[in-house]
Amino acid sequence: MPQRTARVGDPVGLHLRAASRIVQLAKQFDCEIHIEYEGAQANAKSILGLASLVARHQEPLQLIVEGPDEEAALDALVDLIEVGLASEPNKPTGQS
Amino acid sequence: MQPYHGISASDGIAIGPAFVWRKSARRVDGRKRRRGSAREELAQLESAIESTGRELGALREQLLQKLGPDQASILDAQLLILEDEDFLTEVRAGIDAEGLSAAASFARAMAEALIPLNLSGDGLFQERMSDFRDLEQRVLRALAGEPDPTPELDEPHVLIASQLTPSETAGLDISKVLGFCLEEGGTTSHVAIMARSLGVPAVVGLRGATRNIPSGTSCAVDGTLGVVHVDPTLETLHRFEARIRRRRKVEEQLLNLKDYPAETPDGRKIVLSVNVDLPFEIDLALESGARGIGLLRTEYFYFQSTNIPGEDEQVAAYTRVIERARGESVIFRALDVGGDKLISSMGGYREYNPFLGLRGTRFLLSNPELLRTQLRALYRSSSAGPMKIMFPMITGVEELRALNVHGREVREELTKEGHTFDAELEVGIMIETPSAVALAPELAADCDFFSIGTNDLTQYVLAVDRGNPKVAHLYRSQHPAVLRAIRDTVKAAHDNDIWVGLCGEMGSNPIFAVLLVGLGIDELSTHAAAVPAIKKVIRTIPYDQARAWADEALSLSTSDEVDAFLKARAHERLRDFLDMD
Repeated sequence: MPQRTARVGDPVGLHLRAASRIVQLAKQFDCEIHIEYEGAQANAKSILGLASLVARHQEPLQLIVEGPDEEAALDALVDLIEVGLASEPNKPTGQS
Repeated sequence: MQPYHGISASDGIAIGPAFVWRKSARRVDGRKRRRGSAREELAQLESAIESTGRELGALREQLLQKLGPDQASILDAQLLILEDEDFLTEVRAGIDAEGLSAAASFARAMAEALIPLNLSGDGLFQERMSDFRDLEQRVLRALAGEPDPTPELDEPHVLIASQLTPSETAGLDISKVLGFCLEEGGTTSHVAIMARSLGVPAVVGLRGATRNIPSGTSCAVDGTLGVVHVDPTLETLHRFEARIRRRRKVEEQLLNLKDYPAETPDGRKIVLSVNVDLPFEIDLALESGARGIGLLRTEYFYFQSTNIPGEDEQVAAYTRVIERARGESVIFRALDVGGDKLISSMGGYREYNPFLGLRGTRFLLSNPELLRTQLRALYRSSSAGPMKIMFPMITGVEELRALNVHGREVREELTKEGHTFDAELEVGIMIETPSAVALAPELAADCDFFSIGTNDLTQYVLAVDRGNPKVAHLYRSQHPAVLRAIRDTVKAAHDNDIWVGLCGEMGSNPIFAVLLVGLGIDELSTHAAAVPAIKKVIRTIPYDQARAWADEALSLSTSDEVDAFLKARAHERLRDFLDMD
C-alpha cells in the first residue's frame, strides 16, 4: 500500500472547509484512501472522519492508498493538502 | 424602554419593525426505540436525508447568487455529511441492529463523531460544531415531518434572533432585512461578515433580546455604535434621520483631509499610521493619508508558505514591503504566534489556555533559531528604507534583556559578514500585559519605543476573553483599569525619553482617539478606513482639552461612567462629523 506524508498547508488547520475540499477530491478516485494522524485513522471520503482528526497547520498527515488509481490519488491529495489548501490563506483573526 | 447595548458588527443605521425569530432546538432521546420495522425506519431516514439534501442544495444556490462561491462553499461540509457513507452506515446500524429510531440513531452517531472536536479544546474547531448541529436539526425536523422554520418576511423588518447559522442566513430574503440584532456571535461570525459585505447594520451580543423585544415593536438599530433603541421616541427617530443625512456629508468632507497633518489646533503633532496584515494593504494605508505603518504583522510571511521562510526569502519579502511604503517608516513586529493566532506544530503540545501559554516573545525565545533568522533578515532589510522592529507580548525585563542580547549578537555577526544595515534602527516592544505595565519604567530604559496593544492589554487587565460570547460584553477598552494602565505606560515612556504608540482597535475609534491623545500617546496606528475620521478629531480638539478629557476619564470608576462622559463630550464637540447620537 503506497503511503506518503503531507503537511497541512491551511493556516487554520484541517477545519471543515479544508476537510470538505479533501473529501470532494478523494471521491473522484476509486481507490481506498485513509489518512492517519496522531494514531487515529480516518477515511478520506468521510467528512466527519476527517474533521475528527483535528489536525493543525503544518502537522504531518500520513496518506495510505490502495486501489487502481492509487498513485494518481496520492499525487493529487498531497498537492491539495500541502499547496492547494495554503493557496487561499485564511487571515489570522484578531488585531495586535 | 432602555436602549440595548451590544457590540457593533456592521456599521450603519436602520429603523423598522422587529421580527423575532425564536428558534427551538429539537432534542432527541438517544435510546428511543423505533416503533415500526427496521425497513420502514430506514426508508424514513433515506427520505429525510434526501429532502434535507435538496433543502441545503437550494440554500447553497442562493448563497452562491447573493454572496459568491466563497460563502456558498460553507454549506459544502453539511452536504458532504449527508453523503458520508461511514457515518450513514453507523446510523443505519443503530436502526437495524439495535432497534433505535432513526432520529435517535442519527443523533447518537453525530454525538459520537463530534467527541474528538469537543475534546480538542480548540475554539476554531469547536466553532464549526454549530455547522454540524445545524445539519442535525435539519435532519431531525425532516424526520418529524416539520417544515423549514425560516421566517418568510413579506415586509422589511429588523431581524432579532439568538444567532444565525450560515444555512439560516442563506434562507432569508435579505432584501427584507433592515438590520440584524443577535444575542450571540462575535464580529467575525458568518452573519456579521455577510452583513458587512451587504452593508446591512448589525449588532451582536444583545443579551435577552429575543425574550424582551416583542415582534412588531419599532426598533432603531445603530450598527455603528452597537446600540438598539426599542420603541424609539420621536426624538430618537429624528436624530437617526439627521444622522443619515450627516453621514453622507461628512464622508465628502473627510476625503479632503488626506494631505493635512495629524496635528491638534494648539500644535501637538501625532504620528498617525496604519496596521497592516497583508502587503497589498500598504497601498490602501498610504492612500488614506496615514504616515507610515505602525504595525506590520509578519505572520503572513510565515503562513503563506508551507515551510518556514529562510533568511534570504524574508529579506526579499521585507524589502518589498519597505519599498512599497515609499519612504514612510514601517514597524515590523517579530513573529507573534500562539493565542488566537495559529501556528504550525512547532511546539506540538496542545494548550488548554493558549492566551496564557507559549505565545509572543515567549515563543520567540523558546525558538532561538527562528528568532535569529528573522532578526537577521529584518536588520539586513533595513538598508532598503526607514523601518523599526517591535517585539510582541513581553511580560518581564529578563525577556527584553534576552532579546537585546540576540539583537546585539545578530548585529555583530552581520557586521563581520560584511552586510550593511541601519545601526541606529529603533527596537521597541509591545505593552500588552499587566506585568509589562508595572515594569514599564525598567523596560523603557532598555528599548527605543513602546506600542500599546490595547486588544490584548484589555483582555489581560480585565481577565476577559473577547471571543467568549458569555463575557464579551465585559471586554471594554475604556474600562478605568485599562485607561490607568495606559496612563502609567505613557508616563514611564516619557520619563525615559522614549515615544509611545498604540496599535489596538481602540485607536480606530474617533472618540477614544481624543482620549488617547489626551493621555499623551505619541503615535496612533489604526485601520486604514479609520484614518480620515481620526485625523479629523485630532485636528479639531486642542491638546489642552484632550488632556482635560483624559484627566476626567481617569477619575471615573466604571466603564459606563467613562462611556457616558466621553459621549457627552463628543456630543458637544464632535457630533457635526461623527456618526453618533
